[in-house]
Amino acid sequence: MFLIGWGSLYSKIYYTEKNFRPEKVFLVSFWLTVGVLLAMTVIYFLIALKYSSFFYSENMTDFNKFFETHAFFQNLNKKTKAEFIWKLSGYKFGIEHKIDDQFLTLSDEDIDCVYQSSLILPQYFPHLWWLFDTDYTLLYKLRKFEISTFFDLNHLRSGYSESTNLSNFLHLKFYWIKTFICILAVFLLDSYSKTIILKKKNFLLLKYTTVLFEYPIFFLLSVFMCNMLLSATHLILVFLIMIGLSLSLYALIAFDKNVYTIEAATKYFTAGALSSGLMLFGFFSFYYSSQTLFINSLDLFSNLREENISYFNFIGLISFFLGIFFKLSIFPCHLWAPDVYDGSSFIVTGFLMTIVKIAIFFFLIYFLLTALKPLYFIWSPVFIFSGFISVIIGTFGALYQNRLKRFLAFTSMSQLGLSLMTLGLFFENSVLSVLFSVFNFLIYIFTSLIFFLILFRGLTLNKKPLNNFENIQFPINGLDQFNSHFSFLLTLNILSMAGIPPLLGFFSKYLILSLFCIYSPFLVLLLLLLHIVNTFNYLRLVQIIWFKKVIYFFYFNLIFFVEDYKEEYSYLDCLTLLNIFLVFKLELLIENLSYFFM
Amino acid sequence: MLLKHQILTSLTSFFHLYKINSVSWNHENYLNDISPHGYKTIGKKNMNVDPLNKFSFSGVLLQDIENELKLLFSFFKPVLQLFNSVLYQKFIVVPDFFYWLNQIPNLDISFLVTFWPQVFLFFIFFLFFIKESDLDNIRLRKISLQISLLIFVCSLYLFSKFDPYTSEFQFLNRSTLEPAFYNFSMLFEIDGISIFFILLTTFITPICLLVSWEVALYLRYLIICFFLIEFFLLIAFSTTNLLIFFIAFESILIPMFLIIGIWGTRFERIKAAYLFFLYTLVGSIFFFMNLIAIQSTFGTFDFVFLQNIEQELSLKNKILLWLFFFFAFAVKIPMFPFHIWLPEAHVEAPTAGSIMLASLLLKLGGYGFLRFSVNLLPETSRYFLPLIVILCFIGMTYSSLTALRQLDLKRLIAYSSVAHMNYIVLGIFSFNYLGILGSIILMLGHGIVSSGLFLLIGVLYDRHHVRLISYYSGLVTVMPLFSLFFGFFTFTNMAFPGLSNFPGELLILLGLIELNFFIALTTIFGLFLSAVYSIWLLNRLVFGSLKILYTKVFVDISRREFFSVAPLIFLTFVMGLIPNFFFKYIAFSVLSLLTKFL
Repeated sequence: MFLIGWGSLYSKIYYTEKNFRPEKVFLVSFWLTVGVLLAMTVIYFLIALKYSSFFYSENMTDFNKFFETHAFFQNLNKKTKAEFIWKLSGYKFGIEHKIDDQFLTLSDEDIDCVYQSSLILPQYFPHLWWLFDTDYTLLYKLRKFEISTFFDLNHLRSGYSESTNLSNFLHLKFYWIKTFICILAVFLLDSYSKTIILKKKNFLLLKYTTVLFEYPIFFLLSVFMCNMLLSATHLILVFLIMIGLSLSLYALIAFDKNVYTIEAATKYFTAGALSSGLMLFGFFSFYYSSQTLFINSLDLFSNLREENISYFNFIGLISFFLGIFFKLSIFPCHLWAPDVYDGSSFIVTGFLMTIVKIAIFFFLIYFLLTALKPLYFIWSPVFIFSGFISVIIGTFGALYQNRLKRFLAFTSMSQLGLSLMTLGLFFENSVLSVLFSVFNFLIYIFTSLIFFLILFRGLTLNKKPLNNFENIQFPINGLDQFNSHFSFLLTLNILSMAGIPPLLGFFSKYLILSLFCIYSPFLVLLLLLLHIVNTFNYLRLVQIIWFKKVIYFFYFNLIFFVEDYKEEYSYLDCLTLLNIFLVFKLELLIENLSYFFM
Repeated sequence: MLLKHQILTSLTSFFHLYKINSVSWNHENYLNDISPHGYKTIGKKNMNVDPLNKFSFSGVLLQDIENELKLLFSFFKPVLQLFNSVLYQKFIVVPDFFYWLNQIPNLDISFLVTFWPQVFLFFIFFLFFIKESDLDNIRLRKISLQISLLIFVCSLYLFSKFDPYTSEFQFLNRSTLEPAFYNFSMLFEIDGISIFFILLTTFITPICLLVSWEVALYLRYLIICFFLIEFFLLIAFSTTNLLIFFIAFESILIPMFLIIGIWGTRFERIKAAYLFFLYTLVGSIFFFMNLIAIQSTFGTFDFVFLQNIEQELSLKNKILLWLFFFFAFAVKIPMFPFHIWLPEAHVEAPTAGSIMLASLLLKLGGYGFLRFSVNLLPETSRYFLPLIVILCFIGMTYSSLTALRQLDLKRLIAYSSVAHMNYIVLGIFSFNYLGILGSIILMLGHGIVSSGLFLLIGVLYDRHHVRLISYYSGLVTVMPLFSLFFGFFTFTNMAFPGLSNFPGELLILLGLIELNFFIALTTIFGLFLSAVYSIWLLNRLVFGSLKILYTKVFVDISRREFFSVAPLIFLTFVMGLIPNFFFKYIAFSVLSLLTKFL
């Protein structure tokens, strides 16, 4: 509602005012969006902090308070309390320790108490919701009076009621990721603004369309949709969000009215329409089998008890996965990706490659681990197959690409294929496969984001309008002659994406392959042989940056990058050097990844 | 995955061989043996007992006199030792060069092993972040040279504290940056095998910096690359962990790739850099496969625990493991079918880069053969002896025959280094005391000699920008000093007695005679060919009539170049005349390795 009102207000100004200045309107809308995004980050961050502090600092550490507050634990012995605490510490790391002999001598009552307490336990570990079979999505049942103020006001009259509030359609599991998304969006918008605001003097020389005030609004809308997707529990809501996201993305892609952008937008539109149709068919089949559209209570398992899966249900599942694969550009539905990335502007490709993929990937994980956990024998081979073939296509497709964004589309296909393959290993080791796939995915997103940010920073350094920048084949061609510092940072990121040892990208691949070795060593060898071709692809980028002597006359567009080192851009240095320093804190990273699910 | 206790029980038969009785590897005792600084108190027990000084005929009286003399003139101990040896003429007793360094009170030396990396990292980040206006190229060269010399002095101090009369690992250190993750404990220890490689790396890097003194293109990045290579080499030669060795092994590729690609001479450098990178990557992928397999079966990477793995593996797995190790190290050495990258990389790299490549990076292959394939899998390496003998024989004769018909100076010496390294591999796989000792000595000698030859060719290339032999002849008339040094190094390259390569080649030949007479007879042919091409090269380059048609201005070597060559010449004399000094440090660890073949 806020967005619509905002849009209508500025459209009024747009059409009525005589001394219309697009500059002013754009700036106002831009700063408003940045403000809204910052407010969203702050809110999400506070909520996440609050939950984590509630479950960890207060009750996890000070157990006596915990026992005093809850009536259930008041009659327990010291022994069982100790055992309970001990078990808590075990669950914290996702490992069930063996019980020592000291604790085995328990009476029957104590054992019953411990058993009941262990049944209740998952409530107090919301970040490990994906480990337990029982689902406690609605965490506010514990703390209804505080949280319900965010969503409904019914509790003022009659306490808690399980009626259909808005709060039933939302869950609170991915707040850290939501803050991550908002920060990424702020980074992207900030770098986009620097391309325009630095050039106030020759403002009108720019293409007229890039300055329209709708641009940041569409941007904010798509970010909002991504955040909503991470908190949706109802399938109709998911469908609506998907459509809203794709609509705003069509607009963003086709914003610069070129031949390329319009082609890209039409391609993305057709692909998106097909994917949403397939997804809707899948939702319909889910409803047919289980008579609900809530993801928590989807009971697809009921057909299994008769030892038969209906073909209808199976086809529905497959169509749902195809719809998801369209968004992630995985094997059978990957053909749109290089064209769309190539046609759209740099900022939109950055958006498509980072934020949208984060949202859809984590939605997929949520869906798999809540609704489709028992049906792993259907989806794990599908994921392994499609992921492996997308790795092959990504590696061999990127060999002969002459344009950067097309190249990035193929390489991202191979990276996402790897992380999907590890999700397919769910039946082998349920905890580690999910953790490592998320680890690989997040590291790849992180490095690719830095890659894009450095490119944007290169854009901001210029003092001339950037016509035809996006039509250069490799805009980093001979970058070392213009800005050696940025080229050094870019090489570090590229090598970490390639997976060369001292950097973070190697460790994620190492973990994944060590999981695959249990499954089949032959497949590990195949993946490693593909890894050689993939590193060859990335080395081509290094070659293009460093080894080419460029004649200035033909490549005058690269004057964008000419600038010395500035302290403003030191955050890029810090972000890239994280690729080295986080290696020494790997264990901490992987332990705390479980918090990311919260 | 085996538990640590199970491994310990399986290793009890091995304990008395490796002399780990004093320091058991059980976790609890392990912690007790380490002082709060992380310094293991071993290696100082037998410092005063010198088995070489126990003269049988001198009796009690002489020893008493000697002790009194020690008390009186302790300052002149090395002189006294020389005096003794000349007087009795039993055999040459090596003077203790580091006697005065030993008089310094004991510091916590193990601190040094982790101190180097921190110095490196600080210096690299200092270079990375400082502005160009604050640090001129001249000051940068001086500072980097001073730091590299400081590191060399540190390594000398460490060498002086090294106890030669144990086969144990010394200077145990847990690094401060320890990710305790998947048995990823970073232990750094130094053996008799690895101590000289560490000295070689710290010795060669200041020479490389001196050689690249006049480079102006991206000087700070060149220095960063050199320091990174030194850093990773020191890590590779001082770990007991397979994974960290692999990381160091593969991460050297990045700076070397950049050195060849950016600071190379011709346009073909890009192809050469790709060849270097991809050949070694293909090899290291098999090594990585081995790592994953070992981790999934045994659960450790520490090769102190993996000493008895051969008995627990099946025949097929043993053969696969050995072959995968072989691929990794045969590419690095390089052996016959995998050698194509080496001449290309040598020709296209700058002189300092080719010095690094020939003297240090090739030694990683030999070190890996010693540490992993011979040490961990002795029986299978015996099984594969015919393969290695045939490949080495082909490599030696083929590469020395191709060296005869080369037109390029650098390519000739690259082929000669291939021949020498193949000879070293034969020495390693002779499974004798003499052969393995000789191979280590020859590796050191080759590291010195090949670096000297590449340095002198670099001198010629800097003057005339031509490396073809047909442009040069009769240089002795105009460049007398240069031709003297060049002749000196060619004589050492063909193992002239009294110079550095002679003891190593002689010992390898003796070891091969002990193994099989026919193999020794065939290798003599290769040795003969080495003399042929080196004398042929000397004859063409230095003697004959001077060619004034193409070049008219000749300048002899400058002071900087003289001081970069002089330490190499000094070391060749030391290694040729007093080889006992080097044998003393290596002997015990080689003997402990050979106990597997009893």
